[in-house]
Amino acid sequence: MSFLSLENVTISFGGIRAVKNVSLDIKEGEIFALVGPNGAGKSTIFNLISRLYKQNEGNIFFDGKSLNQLKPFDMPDIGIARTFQNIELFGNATVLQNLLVGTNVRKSSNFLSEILFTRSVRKEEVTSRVMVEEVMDFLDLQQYREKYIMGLSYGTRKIVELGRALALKPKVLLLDEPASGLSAEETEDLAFWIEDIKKIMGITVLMVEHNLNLVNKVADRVAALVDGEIISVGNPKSVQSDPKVIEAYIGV
Amino acid sequence: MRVIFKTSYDNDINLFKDKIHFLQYVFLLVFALALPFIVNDYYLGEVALVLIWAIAGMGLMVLVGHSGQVSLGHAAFMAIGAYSVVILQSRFGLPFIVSLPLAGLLSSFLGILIAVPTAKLHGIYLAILTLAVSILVEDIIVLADPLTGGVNGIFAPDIEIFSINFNRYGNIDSLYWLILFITVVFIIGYKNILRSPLGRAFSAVRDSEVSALAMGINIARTRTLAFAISCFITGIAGALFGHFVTVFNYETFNVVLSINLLLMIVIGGLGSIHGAFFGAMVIGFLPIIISFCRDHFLDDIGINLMNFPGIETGIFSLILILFILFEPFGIYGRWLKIRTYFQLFPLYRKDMFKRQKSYLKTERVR
Repeated sequence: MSFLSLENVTISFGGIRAVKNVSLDIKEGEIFALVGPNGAGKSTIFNLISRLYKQNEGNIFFDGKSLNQLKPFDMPDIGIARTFQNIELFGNATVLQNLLVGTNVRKSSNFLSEILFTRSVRKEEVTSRVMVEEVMDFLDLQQYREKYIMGLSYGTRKIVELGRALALKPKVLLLDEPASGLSAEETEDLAFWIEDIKKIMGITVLMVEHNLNLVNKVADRVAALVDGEIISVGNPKSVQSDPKVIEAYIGV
Repeated sequence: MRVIFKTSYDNDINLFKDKIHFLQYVFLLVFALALPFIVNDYYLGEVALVLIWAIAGMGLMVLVGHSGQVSLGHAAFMAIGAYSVVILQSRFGLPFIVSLPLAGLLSSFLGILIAVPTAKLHGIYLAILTLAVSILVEDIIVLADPLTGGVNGIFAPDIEIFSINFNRYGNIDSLYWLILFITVVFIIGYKNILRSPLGRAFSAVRDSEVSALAMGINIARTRTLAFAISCFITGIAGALFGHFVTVFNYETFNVVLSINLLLMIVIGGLGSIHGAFFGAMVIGFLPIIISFCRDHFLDDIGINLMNFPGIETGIFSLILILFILFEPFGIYGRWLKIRTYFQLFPLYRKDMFKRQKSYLKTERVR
C-alpha cells in the first residue's frame, strides 16, 4: 500500500484540462519533487491533494483512505499540511501567534471553556506553546518571535510559513515553491531544513520547485509535468537527462 | 524602559504581563468603583452610558476587528436585546437576572440566522446585507405593535435583582456599579477569547481564508461563532441601554446608531479592546465637551454658537474625518506610538510604526 497516491486524476476548468490522467505514488518518508514549466499543473495537483479543488475523475488516497469526500479543513486532522506559493500568512499577527494557529487542530476545548479560560484550556495552551517553541528553535525563528508578519522580509515570511505548517505536526508536508524569492544562502539553509524534516521529524515531503539545484540536493524522486501530464518519473539525474524533459524545457 | 524577563509559558498566557501592569489596572478599577463619590449624578450617568457604548463596541469589535466581517446593522441587535429584556420582564414576568442573558441569547440567535446563509459574503456585500437586516428589524418592531408598542415605543421597568432596585433617576450609583460589573465580566471574557485558540481562529479567518482552511479551521463555523458572540455582547449592551434610557421606540435603534458604533471602533482603533473604550469615550464625551466649551468660553468672548444650528455635529464630524485621515490605527494606535516614544526615549524613530505598503486582501475585489 502506498502512502499518498493519485490514481488517474483529471481536472478541467472549462475547456482547459489542467491535469490529465495523472497517477503518482509517494512513499512514506521520501522527498518527492514535482518540476515542470509554468502552467504545467503542479500547483493544481497540490490544490487537489489539499481538496481546494475536486477532481473530475480519478481517486486520491492517503494512508489507505480515500480523500474524495473530505473538506480542505479536514486535511490537518489526517496529517496533511501545506504552504502556499504566494505567502498566505496571517499578516496582523505575530510570528508566535501564526505558529500557534497550527496547534488549533489538536485542541480538545470548546468555545465556552475557552471564554472562561478553564484550567484545562491553560494546560493545553502550555503544551501547544512548548511545541511551537520547538519548531521556532528548529527553524531559527526565535529572534522574530514577537514581530508582526507585516514587518518581516519575504525570505523570513517563507520560513514562518514553513514553521506554521510544521506546527500542525503533519505526516505529509506539501511545499509549494519553498525556495522562490529566497537568496542563495537562504536556499541552502532551506535544503538542510527539508532534509532534517525528513530525517529527524520523519515527515514525507512533496514539493513543487523550479530551483533544480535544490531539487537535486534534497529530492529522492522527481516527476516532470508538462501540460498536465507526467512525462517522466525517477531519481533527479535520470529525469533531467530524459530527452522528453529536455525537449519540454528547451524545445530542442 | 521596563524589561520583562519571561521565565515560564504562563508569562505569555497570563492576562497581565507583570505586577506593575496588574497594579495599573487595579488602580483603574478602584478609580472606576469610587467614581460615584467623586462626580455628580449627571456625569455619572454619562459615564454609565459610555460603558454601555463600550460594551456594544466590544461586541462589534469581535466581528469587525477580530474576525474581519463588517456589519452596518448592529443597532438591530441592540434593539433585539433592549426589546426582549423588557418584554421578557413585563409580559412573561421573568426576573431581570434571567431575562438579561436570555435577551443576549435571542440576539445571538438572530445573529446566527444571518450568519449561516451569508457565510460566503465579504466586506461591502456583508455590510449591505446587515444594513438591510437592520432596516428590516426596524420595520418588524413597528409591525409587531401589540408586543413592542409600535411607534409609541415601550417603557422599561426598574431593574430589580434580589429586591435591590436599580433606577437611573432614583439611585444611579447602583445602576452604574451594575453596568461596571457587567463591563468587567465582558472584558475578561473577551481577553480570554483573544488568548485562546478561538481568538487565533478569528484572526486567521480575518487575515487569510485559504490558509485558515489549510490550518484546519472550519471557516463557516468560525464566522458563525464570531457572529453569535458579537451579537450576544451587543444584545446585552442593548438591554442595558434600554433600561438606561427607560423609554425607547424603533427610532432609537436606527441606522445612524449602527454607523456610530462602527465609527466608534474605527476611531478607537480596530482590533483591540482598548479601541472600543477609547471610541466610546469619544462618542460619549465629545458632545459634552463641545457644549461645555460653548457655554463657558465662547459665550465669554462673544461668539454665540446658537446662531449656527448643527455646529456641534459639524465639529464632531470634522474630528472624525481628521482621525480617519491622519490616524488610521485609531486612538489606541496613537497611544501605542506615544507610549513607545517615552519607553524608548531618546531612541524612538519616526518610522517605527510604518508598515510595508501593500493592499489589504479585503480591499481586493473578490
